[in-house]
Amino acid sequence: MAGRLQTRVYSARPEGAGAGLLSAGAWLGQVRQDLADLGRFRHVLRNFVVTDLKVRYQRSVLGFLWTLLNPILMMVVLAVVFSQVLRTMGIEEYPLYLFSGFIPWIFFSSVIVSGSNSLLANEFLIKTVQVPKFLFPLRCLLVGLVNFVFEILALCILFVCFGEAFRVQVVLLPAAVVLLAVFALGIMFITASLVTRYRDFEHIIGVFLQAWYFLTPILYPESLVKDYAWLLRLNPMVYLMRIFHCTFYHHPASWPDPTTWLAAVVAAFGTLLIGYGIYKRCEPHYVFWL
Amino acid sequence: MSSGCNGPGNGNGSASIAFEEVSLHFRKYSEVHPTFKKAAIDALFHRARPADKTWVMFDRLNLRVEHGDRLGIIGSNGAGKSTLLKLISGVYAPSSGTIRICGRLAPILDLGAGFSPEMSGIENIFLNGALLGFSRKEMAAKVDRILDFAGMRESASTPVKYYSTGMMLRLAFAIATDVDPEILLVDEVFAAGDADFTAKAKARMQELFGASHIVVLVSHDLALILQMCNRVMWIDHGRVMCDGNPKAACRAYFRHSQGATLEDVLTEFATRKVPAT
Repeated sequence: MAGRLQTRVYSARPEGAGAGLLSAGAWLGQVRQDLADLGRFRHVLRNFVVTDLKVRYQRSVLGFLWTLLNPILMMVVLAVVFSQVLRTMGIEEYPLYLFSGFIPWIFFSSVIVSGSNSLLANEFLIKTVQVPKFLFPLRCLLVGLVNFVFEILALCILFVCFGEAFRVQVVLLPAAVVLLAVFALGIMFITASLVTRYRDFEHIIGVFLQAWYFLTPILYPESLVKDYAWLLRLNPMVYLMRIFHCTFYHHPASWPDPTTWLAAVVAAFGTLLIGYGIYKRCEPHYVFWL
Repeated sequence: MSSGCNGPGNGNGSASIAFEEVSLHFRKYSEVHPTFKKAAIDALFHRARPADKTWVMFDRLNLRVEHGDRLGIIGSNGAGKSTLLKLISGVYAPSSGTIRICGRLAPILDLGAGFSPEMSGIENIFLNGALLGFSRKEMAAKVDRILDFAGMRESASTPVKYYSTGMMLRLAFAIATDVDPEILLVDEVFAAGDADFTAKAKARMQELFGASHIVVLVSHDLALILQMCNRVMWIDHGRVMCDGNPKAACRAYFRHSQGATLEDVLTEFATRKVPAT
């Protein structure tokens, strides 16, 4: 058998507080290792995602339509109800405002819920096959992203049907989607670790997401909040939502200001960094927690 | 992580497994399922949590498996046989120490672990192949062979959830063994399907055993171990009791399980390297 043999080395990670995590070299080494693993397991990831999408869309002929119709119908309900409530608040074209924030939120929350349970759901696989654990949250994220993109497209068609014109700000959409996905992945790493360690954390996530939803200007405009404006400034989701609002909603049409960009980028990548750190600390233990 | 395969006594291109002072501690959690509620309340009231008990499965285990070894592992239930395989295959990370593996691993452990019940047989072949490290292209070349071996050409496009247990095992076995292994890890999987298939499976396993550089076989079937292996290790509660001559090791294990004292069988193993049968 010609050629070099594959080599693998498994060694124990340093126990105790993250001594290794503080040095940049160790960090880079781990990131490089994980990227190499991602390359090695890209076929697995692709198979996972294709499988999930097929299962989702194959089960019924209308499967694909349902996944689009569901959020749209829900939005219609919200739009009808809240445009009555908010009429006095003087927000123009409320449905458009709602749509541009609600679809990203649905993507975010559904991905967090499925990603948090992804390690538990794949317990058998993790216990029997050597596979990098980050594949499972990543798989949920990618499946959610595909769905998200379809929903955005459906939304655009809807807009055109209602005679809306797109503004140039729509070019921000890819950047906004990427930032939200990065942010979601960071949160998923944290919640997946917590759910795997403490099973009952799953219940808290639902409540937590619900609260977060109401604390973020999705149903209501940011200008409505007067007394607790500081609370909004602490909420990283607000900055991401502002960018999404700029893409479709244009009363008035504007570009996100530099502060918003900065805050959104820092929040997204900072969260991913923290989440990844927690994930790396927990990774060797997942198999024993399951 | 390419430290290369050039450890001591290791030429180029020869497979090996090396355990250096490997320990594995399982944490026995004081509660079966630790809950966040409890952890939060305990933290809130500064209540000391009962410490998690650690349970040592392996303690500074050293082990070298060289090119050409057909290593059989025997021992009673819970001795750590399967755990050892999971350390080699990388499912468990060692608590301390280092494991070095040179060579492509072909684990035939829990068959059908990666099956996705909603998907068809063909799609599962690709999915499982990916988990074993094969690309879509590589698997495409194998699909026909795998389906033929499993004898399930007609049901290839049926979702796996409608398969019988036997069909599932046959397919899983066909996928797992259609490999070009350097290090073969086997956790007794012989009795799969009907008599016809079992004979075919045995022949396939024999072929793989011949082709692999290293084989690690875990089994309770001493006859099978004696037939297949040129080195046998008896482990008990994570400790290596005997390691070496297959007949001597099997005999020691057998005599111990029949009630002979440990000292007796171990001195016997140490003194009579090759016992009369």
